[in-house]
Amino acid sequence: MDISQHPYAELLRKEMMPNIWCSGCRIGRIKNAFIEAVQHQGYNPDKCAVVSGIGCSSRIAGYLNLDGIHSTHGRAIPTALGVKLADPELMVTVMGGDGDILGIGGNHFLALGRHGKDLNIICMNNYGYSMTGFQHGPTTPFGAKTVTTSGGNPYAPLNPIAVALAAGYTFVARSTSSHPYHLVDCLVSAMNNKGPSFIEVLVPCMLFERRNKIKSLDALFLEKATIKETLSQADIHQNAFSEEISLGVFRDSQIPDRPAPAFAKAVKKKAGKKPRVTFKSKDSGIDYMQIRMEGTGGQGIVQGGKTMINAAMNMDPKLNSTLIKRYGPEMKGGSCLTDIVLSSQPVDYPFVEIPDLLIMMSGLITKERGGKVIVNENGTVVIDESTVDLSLLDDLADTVKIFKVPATQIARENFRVVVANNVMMGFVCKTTSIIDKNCIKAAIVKSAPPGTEEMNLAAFEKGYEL
Amino acid sequence: MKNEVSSSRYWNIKDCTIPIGKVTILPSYCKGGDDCDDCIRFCPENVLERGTEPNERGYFPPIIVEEGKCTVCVRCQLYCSENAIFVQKTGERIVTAEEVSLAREEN
Repeated sequence: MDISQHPYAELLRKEMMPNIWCSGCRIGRIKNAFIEAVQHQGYNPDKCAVVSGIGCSSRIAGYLNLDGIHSTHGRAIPTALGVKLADPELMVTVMGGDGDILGIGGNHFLALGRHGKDLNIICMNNYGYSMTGFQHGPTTPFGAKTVTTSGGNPYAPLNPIAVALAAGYTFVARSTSSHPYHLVDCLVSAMNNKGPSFIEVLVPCMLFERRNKIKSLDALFLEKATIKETLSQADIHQNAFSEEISLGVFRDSQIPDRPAPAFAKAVKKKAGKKPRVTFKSKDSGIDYMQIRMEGTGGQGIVQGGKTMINAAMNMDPKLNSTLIKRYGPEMKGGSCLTDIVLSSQPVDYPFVEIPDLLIMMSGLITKERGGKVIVNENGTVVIDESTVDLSLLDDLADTVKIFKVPATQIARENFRVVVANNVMMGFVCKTTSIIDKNCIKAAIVKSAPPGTEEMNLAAFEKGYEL
Repeated sequence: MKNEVSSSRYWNIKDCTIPIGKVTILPSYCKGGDDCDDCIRFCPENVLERGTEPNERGYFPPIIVEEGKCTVCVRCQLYCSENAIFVQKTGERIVTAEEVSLAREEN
């Protein structure tokens, strides 16, 4: 006889068994109760998912033969939320301990109450971080001895039920591992609830028992805990082990109907008809080319770079290209540059080292660099006469081709300053003839904000005619 | 309790029958000892008893002493953290008059 004959065998990952929990640890019972609840509900195992964090109790996800994610410490709830958003039909359960859900992932625990998604959170409260030798955690009782509080815990414990009720969970219950039938009952109710559900399960930990000289927490739970049909405000408080522990369902409500927010109306801009530009793709013959656009923020440097790369892709779809934009936190007025690499081979390094084509719309970057214009000896520099200090070009070698255009001035006189980059682009297209005219025009239409395509195209034509 | 769960699927209360079960113990999985012994403590028919032969980890798995008395309440199966014990239903028998009178006395 082996484990494959077991009634739970369908939901157990047999190759992982037997489990690693200590002798006397009752976390395995919660796993059994969960399996009973899933079998009672008749769920298809393919439609169940278990997400867990790190800790003793999070091992459950490893022993259940269900789809699951063993996520990082404390981040089980956001991971589960992602799973639920990806497939809303899944029954997603989060298995975690008190340190995982209430300690490290405490913020996510609060946030789920606001989200209102149908997740079941099973928090196994064993009063501390037991996997690492029992350090004190958020629920360690006042005065309890742990590794980190050897003279007794000086901090007051957190009450998970009170927090869950305040956070807006629609199902809140407390149970213990010593009452597995009650736990199965709670689990089934939690699965039927359509909102975020929270079950606090008290679990005895052997390390805690030995350190605090408690003979058996399991027996203590059976002695002190009472299952109640109706619970009052006073039952929320569970004060260490000296008083009575109330078990039961604190809240089982429907998720409230939330009115659709009025401000979230879809804003539809009237998109005008985009002018159509036809272009022909051809083999460009570019082997390796580095293009850099420099300027200040607000001049359309990034937009110009995007136009350039789109145009290059229009011209030769086989070309490999990368775009890197660099701008500081100043945004408008700060230095800004865009690096484009066009290559027939896959691009290994996306930054431009020595540009073949340098488009300068401002001298700011050059000044920051120490007044030296970096460009290939046989390269081309296109500068904006109206904004760049021409004395910067004095040191350049004679073989570098230099073109000057008062792009910003033309744009200010004829259109608006924001289209200066397209005036520049038209001039670059004419002088360097790297990229076909119609390809750039198609790229401008694609990347321009709706309603401004005509102005951008006119600016491009203006630059081309110069 | 609100939801009728667990052993209800093995039991047939209408026909006044009691299931007969077969208990299987997987000794290599068991971690029973002074800290556990849940299957022995919670068995209502006292089918199990602490064994004397240790398994390879040094724990003492339980042994079956009252074969055939199991009524498939599946408590041992649900209570065992290690999944080292399980019960299979093999048949049914009709409730005897003594058992009915015993139950009446208890109630």
